[in-house]
Amino acid sequence: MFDLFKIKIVYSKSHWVMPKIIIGVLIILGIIILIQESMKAKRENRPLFNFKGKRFFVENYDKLKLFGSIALLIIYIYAMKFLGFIFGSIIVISLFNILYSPKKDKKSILICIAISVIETLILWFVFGYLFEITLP
Amino acid sequence: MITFGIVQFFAALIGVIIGIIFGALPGMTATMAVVVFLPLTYAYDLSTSLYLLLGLYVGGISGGLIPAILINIPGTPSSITTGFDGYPMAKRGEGVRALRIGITASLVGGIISLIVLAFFTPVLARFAIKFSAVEKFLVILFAMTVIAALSRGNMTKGIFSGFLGVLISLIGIFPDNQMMRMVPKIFADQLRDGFQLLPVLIGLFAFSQMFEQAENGMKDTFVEEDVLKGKQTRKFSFKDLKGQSINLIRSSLIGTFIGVLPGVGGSAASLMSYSQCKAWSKHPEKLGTGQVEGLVASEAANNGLTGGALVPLLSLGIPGDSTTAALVGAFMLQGVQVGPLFISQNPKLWYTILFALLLCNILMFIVMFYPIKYLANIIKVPMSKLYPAVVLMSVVGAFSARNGNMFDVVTLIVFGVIGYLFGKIGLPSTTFLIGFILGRDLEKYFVDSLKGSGGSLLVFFQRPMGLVIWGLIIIFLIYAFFDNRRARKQNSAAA
Amino acid sequence: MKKTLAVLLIAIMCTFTFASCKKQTKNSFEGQNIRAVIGSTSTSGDSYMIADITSRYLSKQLKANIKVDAVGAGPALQTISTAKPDGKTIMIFHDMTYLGVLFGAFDKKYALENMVIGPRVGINPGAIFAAKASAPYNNMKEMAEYLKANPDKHARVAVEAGGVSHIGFISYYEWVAKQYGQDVADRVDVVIGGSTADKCQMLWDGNADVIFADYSSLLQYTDPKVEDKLRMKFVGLLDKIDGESCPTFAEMGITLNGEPFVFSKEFIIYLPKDTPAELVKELDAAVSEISKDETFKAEMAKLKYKVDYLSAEETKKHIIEKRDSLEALIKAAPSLDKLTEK
Repeated sequence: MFDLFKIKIVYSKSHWVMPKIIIGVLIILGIIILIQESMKAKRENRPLFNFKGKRFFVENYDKLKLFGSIALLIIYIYAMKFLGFIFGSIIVISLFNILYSPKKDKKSILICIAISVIETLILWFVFGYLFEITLP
Repeated sequence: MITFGIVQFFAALIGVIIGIIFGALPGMTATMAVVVFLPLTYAYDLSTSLYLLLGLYVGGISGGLIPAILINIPGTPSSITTGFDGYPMAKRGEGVRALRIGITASLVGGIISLIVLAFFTPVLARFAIKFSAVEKFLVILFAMTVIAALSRGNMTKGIFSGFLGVLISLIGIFPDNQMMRMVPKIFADQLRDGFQLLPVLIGLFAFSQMFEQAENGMKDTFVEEDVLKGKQTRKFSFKDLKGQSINLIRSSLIGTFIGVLPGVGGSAASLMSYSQCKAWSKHPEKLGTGQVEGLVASEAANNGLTGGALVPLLSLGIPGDSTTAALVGAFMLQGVQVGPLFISQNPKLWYTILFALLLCNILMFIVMFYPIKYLANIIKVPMSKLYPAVVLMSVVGAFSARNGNMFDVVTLIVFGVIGYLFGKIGLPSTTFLIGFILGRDLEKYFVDSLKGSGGSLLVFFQRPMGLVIWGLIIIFLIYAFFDNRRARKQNSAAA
Repeated sequence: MKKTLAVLLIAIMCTFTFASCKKQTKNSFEGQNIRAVIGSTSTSGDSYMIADITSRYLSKQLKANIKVDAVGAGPALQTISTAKPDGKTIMIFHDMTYLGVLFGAFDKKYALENMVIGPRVGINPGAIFAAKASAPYNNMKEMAEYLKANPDKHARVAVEAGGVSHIGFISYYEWVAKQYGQDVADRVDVVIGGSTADKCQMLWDGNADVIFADYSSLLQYTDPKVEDKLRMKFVGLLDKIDGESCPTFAEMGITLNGEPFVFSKEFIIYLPKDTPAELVKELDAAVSEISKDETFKAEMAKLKYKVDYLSAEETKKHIIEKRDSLEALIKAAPSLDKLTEK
């Protein structure tokens, strides 16, 4: 019998009860958003999907820094796996500092490396050594 | 009557300081601090250990406000709402003021919850066991109303994002039947327990901000130009808290109450308190732009949690939050049982705990209030130097939160990108995160309620305490709905 | 200035290269940092307690530094089955290691065959069923009789799916069905509970009649001084506990395949696959040595755990036998879908 106020909990399927409800709510909300947006678009007399004049990235965005950061993070994971925490961190964090640094002359690069070494060692000493937290 | 001496004093002081450090570093929490120090406490007697561990607890909960206010990265999950009003204040140069308001509110929250713990423990314990799955479900639902409060002017998208957060939190195994859902086969091992809160939190807040800044060339500092030049800004005075007394007490009690409820996560405390603050505020539209009341509500509540969470632990043997759950280990290692007979059988230890908690709260205040002036200069460091350090700390935090799990570092990066994309398509990541935090509890208590009722949904309307919470939820939602419409009208009038 | 800085940096780097490359020449635990993962995330359960106490004594014996990491069942199994067999990673865990695989909660690649079974350190006999003090029966045999006499009554038992409680329940259920008839067994319902804290609350707010948990964690609630609302009594033990008068399953006549049913959680050290025999031997000797230590025994006894050394070889034989005998039981048992149905 279909009963509106009843949700039968079958043990082996109970892990799907909540996700199904949430997905249902999300679909309803999605439809509402779509209606709202299209009504707004109609009022303002423009097509629903208007990509003209809109852009995903800000104007003249810094490609190198944006994609560089994502790439460096991915490298970081491998660096820690193969070089261990201290070396992986020193290298990658140095690269991060250099990447973000506005100036890229010899002196500022050296400063960047120095900062990274100090930061990594402090963190390693305090957490890895003193507190014995498991580090990569 | 109590155990106290110079050793205990220093144990508390060290605990508080280290706790603050753990709390302040993104990715590290009070719970972690307690777990790390647990094996060390074996060498001391229980009272001395408790000074240290309670210090870690109080410090860890309080330290989270520092990065939340200064760089808009919550140091712990319970300080998410602190950044809403704290960071805007820091941005306009009132960093020290915001920090000191937060610290003072934390102290008040801690003390109020301590008073509750000292005098009302037996009463509250009896109250807490009356809260079955049904009431807990409704409390979580109530905490979720903060989503509506936060998405003012953009309600459907905010709620959508919130429910998306709930859905994502459900990924992984369902503890009841050990079945996996929504997990691609190749990630079956890594996603067994789903995405972890800390890396998701840091990814959404810190990493996505970093990507945005990188897109803009990473040119700025966290504060506005003229603040850097040292333009005179508002200083903190205790008068700032004038007119906040009701807010302070209300928020502290909400925090304590959430703490008392076993199995309702600590982050719910500050979320609920913030949304209540908004409901009671004379000018709710200003919240989120750097208002003292929002900051007070958040910080008083998360420190209010500390005393509250000890209530069920010391009177029922059931921890009130994850940190107190770790504390149980310290008692057990020393062969002391926490439970219904604890207070009557260990009066000396009980008074020692109360005193230690008082001491730790005061120490927390002293340790943070004065030196914070210097720490606040962090925001003047250019982002290009600060973010790499944040990356380093977050990675360490994410990796070590589950004692060495590289997948959590991957989570960090993935949610950094997700948060960044959310920003681009106009979905709020804050509400997503709130949904994510509350999602698992929402599911657990929903399914538990239905298991108890044989599947009948009417169970949610049959208990008197439940009806009261329903009343609050509905009043609040109606309020939020009209508030949302007003905001939209204002927006279109302005446009 | 620049040069000094560079030299300094190189010096620091070199020191650390040296420090981290202190290659050991022979296979030994001595002087190593050993990571002991456990299958629970809780720092107050028996897994953590036993691992913590054991590792403290074992560290001294092995002249190593063992650190317990409470990572949880899934990550622990994953860690031990992927770690390098260099003695830097071990796992200390109880029967859940193979029960999880038997119940299908974990993948077959985590089967016992894919790790090295080391020595047994100790056992926790303290698995008990408890009911509210006001319950109309004093043990689980009486419970079955009570259900037989009152055909309209049900008894709800809170168990954790795929755990030791699941095994205990199934053996009880099968026995009730055989002795008292399927009708009575049908009225023994299962409710799924999570942590001990969860289960206690279920008992208190009336969502379960009998719960299953660790002896030492529930002992305090049986004290007559505890107020009535919270007080519990023990109704069934899986194995004998010193100084506890509640009857065990075996004493009540609960049998499994004709044999008295006895079950203790056995805490065993597991090592990654292909761990060199000399390492296992070293560990074996060390565990054997500490298990003679009276202070170690006393400390474990304080929490109702028993030190019970069994050599790696014997442990392996024993635990695989245990697993195979339980496999049949689990296969024959009714599904939880049926048991949880109201």
